[in-house]
Amino acid sequence: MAMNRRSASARDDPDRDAQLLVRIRAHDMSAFEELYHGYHSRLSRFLFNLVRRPQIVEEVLNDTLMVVWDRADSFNGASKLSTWIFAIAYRKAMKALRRQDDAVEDRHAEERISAEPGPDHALGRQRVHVLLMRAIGELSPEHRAVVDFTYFHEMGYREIAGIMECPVDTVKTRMFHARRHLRRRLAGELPDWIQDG
Amino acid sequence: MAHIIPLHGDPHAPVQALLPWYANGTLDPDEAASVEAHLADCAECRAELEAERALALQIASLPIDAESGWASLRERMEQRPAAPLKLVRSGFFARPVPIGWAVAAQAAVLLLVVGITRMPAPQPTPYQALSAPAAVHTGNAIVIFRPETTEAELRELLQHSGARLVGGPTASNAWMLYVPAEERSAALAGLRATGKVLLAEPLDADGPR
Repeated sequence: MAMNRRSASARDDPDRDAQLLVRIRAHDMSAFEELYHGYHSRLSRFLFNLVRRPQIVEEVLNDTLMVVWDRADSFNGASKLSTWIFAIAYRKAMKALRRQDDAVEDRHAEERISAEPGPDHALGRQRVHVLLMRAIGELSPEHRAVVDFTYFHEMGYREIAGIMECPVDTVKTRMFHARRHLRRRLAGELPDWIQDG
Repeated sequence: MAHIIPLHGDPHAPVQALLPWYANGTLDPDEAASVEAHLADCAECRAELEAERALALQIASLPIDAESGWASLRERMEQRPAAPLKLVRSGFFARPVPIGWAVAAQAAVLLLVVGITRMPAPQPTPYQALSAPAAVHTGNAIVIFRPETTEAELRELLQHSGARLVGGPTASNAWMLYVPAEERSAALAGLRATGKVLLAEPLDADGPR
């Protein structure tokens, strides 16, 4: 079933995160496992969208969580824990992308969208998803990150700028161009979405 | 604070630039109020907002299948040679220990704790919580023998201490032992006294959680 963004953001629980971090600092493995499960789906979705190469999603995700485990002491609480973790993931992912610049892009990403069995309506939705995945794939990783942070992870532009270490105006500009591109690519579909929504 | 400044004389552009964050509810109150003031007056930007929400909904509901597993991360933690190099005082140890061994022992504890939960026969469930009770005796002590210890010596040490080997060796050459709780302190002290172990410490898997 498609995960909706409300359920994604509902898992951002600063109190629980803070408690887990205290235990992780004491190298409590069960706390780390809990954190892993709390972040896995958000991070893997974000990373998959960003790098679009399944073979490096898991590597980057694990690299990210290993940093959380190893460097839990260095989190100073200036931001939410989730912001810190996403910032690590973003940097690791961009580094991995630079390393693999010559690697073949995953051209079958859109085919991996899970098919939801159902009537024509569901088929139409799936077609839209395929178009959308392709259109998102045409964006640069930086643009994809802004799109996903905003739409799926429901972050504000200041938080995104913090994660991406760029000025807020850059975030706004990237979002502006990304939206324009997506809507252009999906022009014919948009009216249907509005009716559906 | 509001940042809506007409750009090149176009009053719509700055509002439209903020719509994604107006739609996801993350603008601060002043910004949101400015956007709303403009929207109240502008059918074009209201239509933009509708389109924005539709796009956001579609993207947020993309069913992206990017499964990977806790098991594989645990696997990787088992395989790596050592934890980060910093002075650590592990909760498992009552006194500071030399960094190399502290790191190795910590890694070993990790590996063993992880390993133990995996030891009972394969489960149909995708993963087993670390805190789940194991079907067999789990280790309650960890020991690292001196590298020159022979197999015969090792066997003798174990027999003498009444400990049973339940796991290992890990990448750090640590072994997990089970010793009946009431004999554990004495057994570990005895092992240390032989001078043939680099580390022999209790693991409190049965202690308070």
